[in-house]
Amino acid sequence: MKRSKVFFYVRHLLELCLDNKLRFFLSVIGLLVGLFVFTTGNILLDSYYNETMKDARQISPGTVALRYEYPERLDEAQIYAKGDAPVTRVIFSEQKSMIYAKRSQNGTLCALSATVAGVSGMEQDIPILSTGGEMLTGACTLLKGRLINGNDVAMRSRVVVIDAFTESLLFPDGNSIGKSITFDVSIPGITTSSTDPNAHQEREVLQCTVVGVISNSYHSDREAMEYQRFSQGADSSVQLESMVYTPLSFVDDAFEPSALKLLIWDGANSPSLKEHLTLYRQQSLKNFPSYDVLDKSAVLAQTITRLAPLKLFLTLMMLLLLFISGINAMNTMFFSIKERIREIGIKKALGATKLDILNQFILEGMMMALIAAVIAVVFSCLTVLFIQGYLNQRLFLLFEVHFTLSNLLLPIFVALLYGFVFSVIPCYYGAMIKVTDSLRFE
Amino acid sequence: MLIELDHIQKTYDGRRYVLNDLSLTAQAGELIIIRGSSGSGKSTLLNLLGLLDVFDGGTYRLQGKEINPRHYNRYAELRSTLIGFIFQSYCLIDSISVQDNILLPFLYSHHPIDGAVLAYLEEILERFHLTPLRHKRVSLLSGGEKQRVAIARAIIKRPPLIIADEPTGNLDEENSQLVVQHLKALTQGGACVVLVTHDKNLLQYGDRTYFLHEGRLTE
Repeated sequence: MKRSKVFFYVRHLLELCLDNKLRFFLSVIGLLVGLFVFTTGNILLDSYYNETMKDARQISPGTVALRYEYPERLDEAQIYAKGDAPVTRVIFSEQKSMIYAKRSQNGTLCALSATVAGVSGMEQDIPILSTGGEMLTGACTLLKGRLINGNDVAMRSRVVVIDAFTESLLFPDGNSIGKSITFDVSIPGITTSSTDPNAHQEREVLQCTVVGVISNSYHSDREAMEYQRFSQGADSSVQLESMVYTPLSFVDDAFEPSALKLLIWDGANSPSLKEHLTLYRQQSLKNFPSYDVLDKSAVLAQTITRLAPLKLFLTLMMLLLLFISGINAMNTMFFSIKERIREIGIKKALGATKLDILNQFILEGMMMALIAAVIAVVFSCLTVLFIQGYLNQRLFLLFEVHFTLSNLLLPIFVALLYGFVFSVIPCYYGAMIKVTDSLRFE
Repeated sequence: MLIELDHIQKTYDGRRYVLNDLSLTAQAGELIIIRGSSGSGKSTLLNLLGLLDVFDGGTYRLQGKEINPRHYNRYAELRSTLIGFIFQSYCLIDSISVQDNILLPFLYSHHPIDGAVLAYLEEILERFHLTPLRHKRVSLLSGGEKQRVAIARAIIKRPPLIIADEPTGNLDEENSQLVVQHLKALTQGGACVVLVTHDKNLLQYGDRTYFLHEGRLTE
């Protein structure tokens, strides 16, 4: 029969750690606070970062978009010639429009403020709004009906494609295909419901037929949350926005188009096209700073650049707090060493080397850091879930929390590193004590 | 010869020599008793013998190997394998059990805790009447029990040299007699025991007795 020395050693360390409960508590709590803030901040920051990048990640790798604000000075024909893939033109209404629909169930009206995006054909990518307010392109999923095509533009059809959230507001029974939506160019207002059928007649300007429903964008999900709160009576009013898609011709006919336009190539040789467009810009459009070539990597880079200072600042603050916790832990380790000088002497008398003593106390420090890290991770997860639940209720929801393996393991790794770093100096002091002096220590 | 001290000198302040031209030899199976007044250097001598402190002059051979005072940091393994210590104040780890205290020396050596060691452990626990106390925390033991644990720890690795510094200093007469009888029994097993004491009643057990005065040993 054999007894494992490793098991004996680990058990020995644990017994020594837990012998003085106050010392143990102070050692753990010192790091726990810093690790808790670090872990919580890391999870929240990562989640916010991922959510902000979500829109950008939805962009197809083969998509290139050209965003500009002075279309009348841009030779679009030349621009079209640069790409080797079909191009979709997108123009937006200058102002938001109020759109109305008659609900079939109870006859009440629903009004929603919307930006109208006129497209030359909705192939795969459509413009969506990012949380930063920038125009981006992202893939859409057709849920019902059909998308707007070139024929609609040619025929100047009065058709519209809406997203699932807009459909739920305007047509709660879910049967929107073939129904009418009324457009009224007005200042963005408040979603209301009115039982006055005459109000519908007075406001009617233009009618379009719903031909398709697409999946929600991230922006739409957020609008849906706000509407849910409004309908639960938590707020007396709510300001909602939507985006609806019509043929280019409809925007030309009915609205004052905004200065912002997009050209989207989908499936093109993106690096080559981007090069052409960028060169074209440098050569001929020096005076047009709004000319911007976007593809997935450019949008990702812009998003990262926007988020980088915040991420850096918050990370530095968390590391600073962790450092302060580590100093506290080191102080507690010094206290522990001082208290156990005699034990060090006994072990040296039994054959322990300085390295053995160093290893023992460093391992103890790392063990307590590990305990602190596990507790911190558990509490952080609970805290983050609580924050998310609280923000959901208040509808200030910024993002969905993501727990990743790296978020949960990073604090463990950091704790072990801190446990090592902040134990080394006190442990070295302990290991260098003379045996005879330490045995005399009371 | 197990121990050979030849003209050993030791000073703490460079002026007064605690040990001055001290010589001592000892072999296996002997119980050497060293007496002396307080401050005569008995503990210093034991620390030198046990490789816990350095000497300033002379030579020291332990089991034929010459000890270099400049390399004391390298003698941890020698301490671990050749020497067992019994201290006056027991020097046990109060927060762990009797059994763990006895096995503690194995953590700092390459020797595994195998079946032979565990069998010897059982024998020691039985011999020193520690079997019912094996899982008890040392802090809960009496002085006599603690000293028996200290002796058990000193002999678990069967070292050829056992150094006992006032092992009966904190014990009553009955327990003192028991401890020294145990130590005498160890010499019969082949170990050499060097014992420092004030107690004249223990002199009868020694094979050789020395008196430490002015840094020298006299028989």
